[in-house]
Amino acid sequence: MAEENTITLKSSDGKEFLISKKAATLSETIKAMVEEDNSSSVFPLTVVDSKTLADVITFLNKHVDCGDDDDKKKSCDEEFMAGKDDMKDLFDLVVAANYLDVKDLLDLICGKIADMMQGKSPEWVRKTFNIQNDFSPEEEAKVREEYAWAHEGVEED
Amino acid sequence: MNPKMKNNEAFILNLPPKIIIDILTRLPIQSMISCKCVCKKWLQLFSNPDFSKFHLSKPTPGLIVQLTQNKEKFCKIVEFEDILDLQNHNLHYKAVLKFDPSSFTSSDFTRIMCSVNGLICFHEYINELDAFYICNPMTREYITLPRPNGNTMYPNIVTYGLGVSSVTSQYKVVRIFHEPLYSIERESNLRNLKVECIVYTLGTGSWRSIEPGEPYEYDTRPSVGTFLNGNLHWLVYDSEGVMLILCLDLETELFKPFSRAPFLKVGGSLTVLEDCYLCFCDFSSDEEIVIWIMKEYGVEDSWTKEVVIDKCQCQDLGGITYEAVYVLKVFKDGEILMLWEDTCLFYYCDKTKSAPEVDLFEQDNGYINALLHISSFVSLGRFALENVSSF
Repeated sequence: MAEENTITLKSSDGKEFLISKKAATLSETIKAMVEEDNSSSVFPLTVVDSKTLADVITFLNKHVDCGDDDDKKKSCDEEFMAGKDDMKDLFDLVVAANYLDVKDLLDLICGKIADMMQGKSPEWVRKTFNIQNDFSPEEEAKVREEYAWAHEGVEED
Repeated sequence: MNPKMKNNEAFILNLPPKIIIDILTRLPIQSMISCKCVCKKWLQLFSNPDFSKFHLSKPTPGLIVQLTQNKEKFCKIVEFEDILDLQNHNLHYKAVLKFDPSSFTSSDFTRIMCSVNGLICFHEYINELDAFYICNPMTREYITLPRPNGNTMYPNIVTYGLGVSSVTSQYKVVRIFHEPLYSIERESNLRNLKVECIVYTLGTGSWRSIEPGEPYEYDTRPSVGTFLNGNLHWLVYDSEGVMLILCLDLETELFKPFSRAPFLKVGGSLTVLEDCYLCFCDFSSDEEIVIWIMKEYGVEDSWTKEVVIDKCQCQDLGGITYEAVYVLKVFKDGEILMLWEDTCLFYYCDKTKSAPEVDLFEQDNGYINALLHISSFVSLGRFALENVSSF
């Protein structure tokens, strides 16, 4: 019985995680995999590493427990996000949520990254995300001038 | 080089554009605009059609306000921060943008008429002719519509509307023109000599006539159609003088009576609350302002008397009687933001029975006008056959 209701997810670095089918199929991608291949019980996820997959599984299990109770979901999500402020981890999660097609998780992480970016200067964004400024000084001045009003009141760092 | 660093480098740029758009469109306007300067790839994302689509799916409500300050007439866009239990709403606006529509209109006699999906329709009323401009202040684009015919001077009545059709998502400006026979002895309009309705679909470059429907008499004061669910709504009177709501389906372009007004005396305004409820504000009485909500769209029996504001209890409201009053927004804490046409914005607080004026804008005495507005990046460039200019 237990076997029928659980499946194993295998991370890109080869670690295996046991998860209930109910929780796993909150991911549209896994749902499609399971529907396509009913006989397998191990599903390899080649783009999700074990650290990230463990996080995703925690999230899915919590959401199954919450059922349709939105208030409960909200407090679960807060608990899940507590202390998650490392950009690299957040990116890994957002990529996994996108690949696994878990809308609630994608929403949560995108919202968190947006919260961190709120009120920050373009310099802060570049530094934090390691983005190369590919504008020439003239081009940048032009874009900035066009939106001069938006830069008032933005934190410098 | 540390391989981990290399892996980390510009990681965000490797995310699918859809996710970056999802993240950026959650930012308040100022931060969002600020991200345009980060790199070329991000700048390009702003003109991606998905960008305005994502952004419109999670709009931050705000206002467009037209006012005079130090004799200068201009428009200002603000976003609300709607948080529960605020002590003072005045502090919880965020100014987004200030601009002067006279930089693209031919005169100073313009009025903000409608706002839909971030596009604003300005109406210009110089002498006896009128003109229309569609503008998106976020993309700094505008279109000048060809001038329609017909003398707009009293006793002629002209009413307008802007909306998006429900199926084909076409943006349409509607103008209804009435030329009544006026009797000086009776000081009233006798009957309509001419009724004309013309529609301008953005992207087509010209006005065309449509069937104007039954010859109702339009309320001259709040003469702009209220847009909701693909329909424009107007308060009109039938031949017996009974007030009702008339609606124009922007897809089929057919007029039909929509509902009786919940209260039949002269003097009401229609607005939309929470993007889904029609709100009727009855300001005809000297003693009170009554706010009605249509709980279920299109169901006449669902009109519910929501709030009654006793003017005598609200010292600040003394005198509001003849100008139109519009309900703009109900906040989570129950406070109601209202516009006293051309005069002031005020909050009504049921708990304290007070209605203080919103003084954030420090307008000169005399003129302020406001509409609910969301900012968007809908580019006017998407409309073929339009001569789009920048300001």
